[in-house]
Amino acid sequence: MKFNFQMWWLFTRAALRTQMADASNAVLWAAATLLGMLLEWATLWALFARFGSIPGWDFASSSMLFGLVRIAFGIAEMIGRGFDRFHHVIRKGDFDRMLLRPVPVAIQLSVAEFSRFGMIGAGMVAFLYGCSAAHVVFNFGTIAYLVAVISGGAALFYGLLMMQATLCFWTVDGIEVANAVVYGGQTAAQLPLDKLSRPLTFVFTYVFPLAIINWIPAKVLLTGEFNLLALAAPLIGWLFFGLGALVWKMGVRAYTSTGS
Amino acid sequence: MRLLWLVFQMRMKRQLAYQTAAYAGIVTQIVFGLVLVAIFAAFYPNGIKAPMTLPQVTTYIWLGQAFFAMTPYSVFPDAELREQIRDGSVATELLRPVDLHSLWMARTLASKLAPTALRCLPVIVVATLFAGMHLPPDIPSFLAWLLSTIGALVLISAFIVLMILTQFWTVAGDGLSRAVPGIAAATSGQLVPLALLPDNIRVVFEWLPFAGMVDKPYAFWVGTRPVSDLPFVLGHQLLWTGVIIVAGRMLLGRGLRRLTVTGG
Repeated sequence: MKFNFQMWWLFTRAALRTQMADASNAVLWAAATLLGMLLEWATLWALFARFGSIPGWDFASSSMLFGLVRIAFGIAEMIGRGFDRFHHVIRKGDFDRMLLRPVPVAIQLSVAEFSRFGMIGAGMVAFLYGCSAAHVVFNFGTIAYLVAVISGGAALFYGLLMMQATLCFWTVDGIEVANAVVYGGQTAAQLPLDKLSRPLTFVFTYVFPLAIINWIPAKVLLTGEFNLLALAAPLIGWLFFGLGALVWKMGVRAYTSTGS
Repeated sequence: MRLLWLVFQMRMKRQLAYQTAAYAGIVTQIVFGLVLVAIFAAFYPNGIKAPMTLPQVTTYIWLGQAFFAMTPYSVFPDAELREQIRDGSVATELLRPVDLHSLWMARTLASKLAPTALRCLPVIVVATLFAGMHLPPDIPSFLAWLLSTIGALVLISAFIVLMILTQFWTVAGDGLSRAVPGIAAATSGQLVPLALLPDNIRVVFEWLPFAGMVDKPYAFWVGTRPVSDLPFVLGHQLLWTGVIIVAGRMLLGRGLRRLTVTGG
């Protein structure tokens, strides 16, 4: 475990050095993502400006949802970009090389990519704006809960990235199916779940429980009332991560190289 | 010209081979469409004064899903072109007796058209039958949509070639081109139909090139833009296409001047 962590740190430091070698590009990238995300947030504002608020839900609370989901996804992507791009690894045959190294492949694929700071930054801007506009009261308990929720959300997305990567063992290409839930989910997460249609509610509660880690915690912050499901939310995210890890392990075991 | 046509055809053939990706894409698009429609439907009980009706917005959203593969959501539909700049094999490309910008334009056109052709019909059929999408109000509107969609395809391709060319400067990553999907999504109408934005913002967005890629053609289909606007829409698209191609050619010229080819 300690060795694996040291290796991960080594890889990550090397990756950071590479990215910093062309610092202007890294900064530009982060700034670009930040700008894109803020624009997306602005369209949400435009919708509320046009239509006014929905019963029980306004721009402030929607901003919290918008921010929370992007912070979580940004963290997952920062560490899990390797899984997201796994089809390149498979197609080029690089996976065989990874298997030869005496470090678990999952560690090799988890090398952090810091350009994702843009998304996390935009998420934080939106989330903090939402919290202050909705007069959310922070105390030690809610902050601890928030940290747990964000970690659970990141774990949830990370688990999904692993499942998506596992698919590549069979399909080699065409991993867009997972995108439907990843990006569709982020868009859906901007509005409270009970305002969406029933099939979507089902998918984002039971299949990919994004609403549990996003909407329910946001409601807790807004009302200050905890309930059992809200407390279990981070755990559900981590359970999904466990499921993803399990699926990934099975995929690696079933992998047969086309090798030479 | 004949050569470029051949390049275009080859690219089309190759892209059409990726059928599984297209099926997966159709599923993604349908899920995404359902999410977006649900979001707008949630807003619409208060939307009595809105300049578009809910059926119009629904149709607009489904068009966006049917033609998603065409929009500049992916700045590099043809990853090889970017790699050529990154790994230096662009030097080999220069040996070919073809104008590089035109060659890339032909390839990009094909790599945008092929996935769109595979995906648009199934999405339109499913959305029309089951999810509240409407067909154009009359034949002139349909024709106006068709013409302006062709204009949009050319405009998008020119824009993508321009984005590929920025790689000459930001070799290690995707730099500038990362910002594009976000900017394009917000200002083109992909996220929210431009008609629903506050007027002062909408006026600015309508002038930007991105509106010509998504919003303007869709408005003909939906029926929120009169067919008599067609000359203006095509003019807007053509003007931006021209500006972007000229900018691209200048960028290419400067990029090649900076380019040092090493090795034997």
